[in-house]
Amino acid sequence: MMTAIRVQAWKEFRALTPWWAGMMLTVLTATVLGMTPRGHGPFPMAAMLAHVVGCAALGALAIGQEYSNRTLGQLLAQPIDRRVLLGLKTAVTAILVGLLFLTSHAAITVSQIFPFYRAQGGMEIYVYGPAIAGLSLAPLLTMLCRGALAGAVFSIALPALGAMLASMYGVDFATAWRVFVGVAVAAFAATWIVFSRLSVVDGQAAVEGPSRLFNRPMPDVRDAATPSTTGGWLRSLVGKELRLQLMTFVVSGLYLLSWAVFSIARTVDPQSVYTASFVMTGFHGVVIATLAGALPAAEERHLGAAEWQVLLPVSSSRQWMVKSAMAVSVALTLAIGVPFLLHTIAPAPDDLSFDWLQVLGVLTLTTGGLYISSMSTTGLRAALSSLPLFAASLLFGAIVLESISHLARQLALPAVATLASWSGISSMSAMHLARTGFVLLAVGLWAVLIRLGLANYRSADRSPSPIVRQLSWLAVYGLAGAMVAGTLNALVAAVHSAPFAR
Amino acid sequence: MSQQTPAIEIDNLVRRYGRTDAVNGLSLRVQPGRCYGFFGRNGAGKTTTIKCLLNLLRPTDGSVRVFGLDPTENEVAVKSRLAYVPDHVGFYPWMTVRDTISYAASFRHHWNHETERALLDRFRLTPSQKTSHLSKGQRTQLALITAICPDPDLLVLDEPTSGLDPIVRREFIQTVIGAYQEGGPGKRTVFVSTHLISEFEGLIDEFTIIDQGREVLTMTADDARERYRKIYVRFSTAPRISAAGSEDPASLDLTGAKVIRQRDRELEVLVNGNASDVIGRLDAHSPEAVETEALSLEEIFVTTLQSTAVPA
Repeated sequence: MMTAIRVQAWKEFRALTPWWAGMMLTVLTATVLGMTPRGHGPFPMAAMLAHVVGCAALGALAIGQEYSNRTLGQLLAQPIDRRVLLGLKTAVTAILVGLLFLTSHAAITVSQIFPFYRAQGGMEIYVYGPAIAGLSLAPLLTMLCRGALAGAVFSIALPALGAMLASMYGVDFATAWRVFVGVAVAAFAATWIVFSRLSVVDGQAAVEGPSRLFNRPMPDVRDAATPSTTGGWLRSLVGKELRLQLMTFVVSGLYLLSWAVFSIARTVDPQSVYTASFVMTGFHGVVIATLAGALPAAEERHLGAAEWQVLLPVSSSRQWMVKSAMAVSVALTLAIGVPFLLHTIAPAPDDLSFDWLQVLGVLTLTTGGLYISSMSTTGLRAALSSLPLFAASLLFGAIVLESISHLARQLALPAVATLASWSGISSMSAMHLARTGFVLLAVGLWAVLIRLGLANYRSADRSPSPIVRQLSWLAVYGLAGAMVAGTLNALVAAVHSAPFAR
Repeated sequence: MSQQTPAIEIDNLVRRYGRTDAVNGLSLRVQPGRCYGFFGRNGAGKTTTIKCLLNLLRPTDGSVRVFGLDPTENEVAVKSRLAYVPDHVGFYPWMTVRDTISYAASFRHHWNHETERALLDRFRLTPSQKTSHLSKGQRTQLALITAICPDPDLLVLDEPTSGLDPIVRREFIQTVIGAYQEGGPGKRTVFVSTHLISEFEGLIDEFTIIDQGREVLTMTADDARERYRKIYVRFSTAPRISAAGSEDPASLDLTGAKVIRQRDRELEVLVNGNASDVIGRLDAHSPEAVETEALSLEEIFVTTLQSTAVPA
């Protein structure tokens, strides 16, 4: 018995540790990068996002991994009391969530980059709350939705909605917090009851999807006897891609709802409502851009439809281009378009600005997510892998690429200064040229990511060697890009410092 | 394209995963209009070969051609002429059976509505039912409908009957696959990888047995039944089988045969292409009875892959 429990506990650690390590890496990297002279900006938000998402994901995956791996039946058939099984899962999750919580707490306490998250109950909302919700709500919602992705999303969204409603009705923070803790305790107790009665239902249970709530049979809009028609594959593909993005739309819908609640509340009493449009919009933008890229290919593979889809007689490159185009369109529309529209209709009190850098950021997150999705087996895994991989890329960029870029700048400066002097380029033109160069570098990166994603999408090969080869290509592109960026920086510096600058 | 262009042509196919050779120098040809069996134990390299054939995996070495075309360079042309039914098939859970069929049809230039209706009736699938509520067997049936309705020239089946109940399995194999081939005699090809060899017995024209990524045996089913035979013989007294190299005229010389059962006076041996020779030697010992019968494909498969194969 003890051996079985030890093996089971090790299995739980083995299943959750990679995701926990990824989120720890993201929190630490974002904190460290945020403390550098140029670092503030999005880094504190990235650290908090990793903490919030990490807690929810660990809680959801504790049980959700059994749905994803289709091992729930095997688990429950083990000759071990279900209470022991859940106890092990809870203990392992509590240890990992606890460590993540301590790390985030320490980062906020020690670092000076989180003033916003320390003020106005920020610690409760962004640090304590997610940890409690991850341990109580996430496992319960995962079982109710029969999927880790829906469990994780709703365990973040429902407390957020509750907080907004409390805010709208003027409930003071202390009371709202006590209610939340009470609900979490009830959810924790309900988790034990639901797990002890958990059924393994064939078919529907095996499908992670967004949630069974969204997969219920709906009345057919068409007559079931309507004959099938040939042609129109593009419309079919677009419809399917939009449906695969359901969870992205759900997250954006919750953002829309939050905005509406805040807007209504502000009209009633502008002073009483705590608003954080900047944080909310930032979280929303990053989550949408990541989900829009991470879901489509990975969810298709998880549903078991990927090979069937690829073998339909339309070239896999066309299918992938439609998938990528839809992901990018959804990401831009929801992450940039919707907040911009809302801000235009009902302006937020705090400073919200929109610029082309946000567009570049969304496109980079989405294309990166698409690439990760092309080699992942579930949408949640792809989304969870995205954050640490982006953090690792930023760290690589900050340490290696910036050094190379700086070196290239120093080396290129004399030659570029001579060239600029000879051509008589104006500082405006140099800036324009540099900006165009940076945009082209970004476009090149998206193209490389999409091209590598296509290679994974059309292949059933899941061995590590192609991935290592692809990451090498990305590193080579990064190094070449750093050198080009350094040269462009040299051009701008040369023109600005030259006496002929106009 | 000439009639003689093979539906499938695999030459020295090699596919490695790291240091493991999943397929190692496999070659085979499937002529159009044939039902070709592709047999092997678990992990023999069957699914890897099929994935190379479908351009889902790039061969490490060697070449694969479908209807004379390279599936990598002529992806759409190849995919337009074939359909695939895998062992584990999944569909989009929000779609109904009808939606799934319509979705698959939208990618095709041709769709046989008559076949669609007939198969829906035969399999008793409800068009308005969500695919997420289908059992494994029903999902396989739906995959078969989406595979057969475009009337493809090549149907690739990878363990298609696993998960089907015996009644549906028999119907699937004998009626559906048979009817599909009869719909285009000499033109429609079936390439089937299966463990349930006995169920495909009557349909298989030719087969290849592979083991550890290598071809072990390729033969037409008729030739195989002719070559591989079981001889049952009964003597008046218990026979004595001679050891290899023995020249004792009183003992039985069973060189070139494999004894599978010996009980008192009765003996059962397997022979591979030398039945008349072995029977001649047995007759020399005046048996009371000698009977021969052809081996089934499944018995040939087991015999071939057993560690001590029947000597030729």
